[in-house]
Amino acid sequence: MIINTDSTKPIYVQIAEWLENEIIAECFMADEKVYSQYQLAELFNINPATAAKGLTILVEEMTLYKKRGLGMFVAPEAKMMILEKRRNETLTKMVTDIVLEAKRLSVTKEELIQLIHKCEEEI
Amino acid sequence: MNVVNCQKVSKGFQRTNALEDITFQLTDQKITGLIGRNGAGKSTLLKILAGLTKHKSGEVSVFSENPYNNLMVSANSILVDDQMTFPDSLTLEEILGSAPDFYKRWDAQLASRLFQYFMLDFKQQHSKLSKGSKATFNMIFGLSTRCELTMFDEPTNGMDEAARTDFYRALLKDYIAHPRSILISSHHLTEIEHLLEDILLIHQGKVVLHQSLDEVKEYVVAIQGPIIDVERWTEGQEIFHSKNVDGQRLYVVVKNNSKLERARLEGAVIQTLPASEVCMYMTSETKGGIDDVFK
Amino acid sequence: MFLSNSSLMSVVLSQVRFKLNAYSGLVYSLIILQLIGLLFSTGWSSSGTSINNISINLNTSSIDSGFIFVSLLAISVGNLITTRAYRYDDFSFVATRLSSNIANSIVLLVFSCYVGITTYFSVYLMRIFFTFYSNNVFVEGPTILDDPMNSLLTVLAMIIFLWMFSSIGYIAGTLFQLHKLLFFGVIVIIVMLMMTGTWIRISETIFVENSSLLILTSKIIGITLLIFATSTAISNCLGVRT
Repeated sequence: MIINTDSTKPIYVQIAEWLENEIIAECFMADEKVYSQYQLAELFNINPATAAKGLTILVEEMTLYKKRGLGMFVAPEAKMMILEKRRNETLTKMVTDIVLEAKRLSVTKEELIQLIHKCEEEI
Repeated sequence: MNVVNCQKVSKGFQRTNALEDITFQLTDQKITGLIGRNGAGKSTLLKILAGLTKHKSGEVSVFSENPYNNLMVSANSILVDDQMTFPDSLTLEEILGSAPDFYKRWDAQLASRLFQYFMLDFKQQHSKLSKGSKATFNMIFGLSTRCELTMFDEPTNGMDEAARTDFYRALLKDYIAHPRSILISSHHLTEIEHLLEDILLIHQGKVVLHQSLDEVKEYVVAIQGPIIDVERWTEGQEIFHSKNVDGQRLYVVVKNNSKLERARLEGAVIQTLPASEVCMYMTSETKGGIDDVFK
Repeated sequence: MFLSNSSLMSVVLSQVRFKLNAYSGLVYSLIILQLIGLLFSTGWSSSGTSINNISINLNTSSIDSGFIFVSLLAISVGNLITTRAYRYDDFSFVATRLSSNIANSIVLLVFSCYVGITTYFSVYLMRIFFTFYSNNVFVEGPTILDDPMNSLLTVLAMIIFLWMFSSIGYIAGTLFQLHKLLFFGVIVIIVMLMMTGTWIRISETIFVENSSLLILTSKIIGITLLIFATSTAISNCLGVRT
């Protein structure tokens, strides 16, 4: 993967997403060590501090854990957590879009909920 | 410890002030980009930090000491720019051979390997090199000193595309292997963005901002939409750039703030910009850009 | 963070080594100029007698005018190394203005030694030249072995004088780099002073009234050191790569 420096997505976010993809694809198994910030920096030709930020995001989301002096490791349930997160994200984004569009079209909350019920019954 | 500490530094040339009220600190061993337009004062600042010229007022400390005429600072810092000269009677090989006597951390193997990689001629004289070769040699010299404070002033001027990419890669790799504080000035932020941790933006001799690369990217946002709406959304906010797109829509670059949430909810198209564009808009004189010339 | 600590002494020595290597171009020009100068500047004084229709011409020459020539050379070399190119080169490596000035004065001393010794021995070169290329019957002259102590002192004195001349060129160059108008102003002042009686009196005290060569030499060394110190003080204001 090549880092897109022009994109509106910060580089560290791209790094985090790439790592998540690798975990989903099982390139990194549970409790296996992932690349260090320096290895990532060399791999993607970026500043190590930026790579470190990407790793930190995943640590905060608990998909990676840190072993002092040894590096970053994949959490046992990481793959599951990432898939769950992605699912939620996509759904959340869709819902946000619907709510925004509803607001634009002056559809009230009650009308919207009614629409959802109707949709569910039909499908 | 702060590697560099500048407090209200100013430097003047005759009537104008090249630098005014410059205050910033560089910590740890980071790669910082010194960004600014031509004539912003980048070279002047670097020369002061390297101890080559004296500042007019304020305090400058490098490694906690005044860099001017300072042996310790000179031994641990280096400024690579296109005015770097070497004696004519020495060949490139001899110049590299003289370095370990001065720089205690000189890496002769690195220098030699980079030299051969870039296919420079050992027997050449420094003054006879082409602009690009000179820049390449100076860069090799600067990297090999492994100085704790390594500064580059527009180091890639004259280098071809391939050499530039190689230089940045070499810089990154050697930085990872042997960390040090690197200050690299450029007016091509797009080229070096991926290397940087922090950005120090200078305009007309003053510090505009000093933040991490990501913070700079999130400093401003661009909003586009119907003129009336955009004007409403950005009312009372700090605007850096404003352009009428096609008579109906307005494109505005504004400082990122919480009031824009409302605009987002109302369906505004809000985008972050690449860091180079952020810096460009923050240092432009007029809000309309060059289009104003052609109005 | 590892900071290397270099002492002034070690940096000066590194600079001296570097300069002796780097100024080799200068040294070669120096040798050639010196040879040309010595060959062309020797003056002759002749005296002749004739006895019984045999005339003898005695031609004597000394290296004194050669010495004047190399003194001028010393002044110009001292001046040359204060020019921008030479000054800037120092700062591509580890340097402070103090270390550069000390290193320059040492290098000039080394050059003075070299030039002084070769000028002194040039008399032998001349003897060889005249033995083979002129129609003189006898070529004779004093040798070192005649009076070793005096010869040594003469050489030393020449070296010190050359060092002093180079320092004059050096401070002139430094002053010129600092401020061109100031330089000319100082020249004017010096010329004016030279015409006054005080100057002549001082010059006499320094140069003429000496009980021995050693005292003269010491005085000259003192003056030279003073001149280099002043140059160092002046050069503190000079920027690099501006």
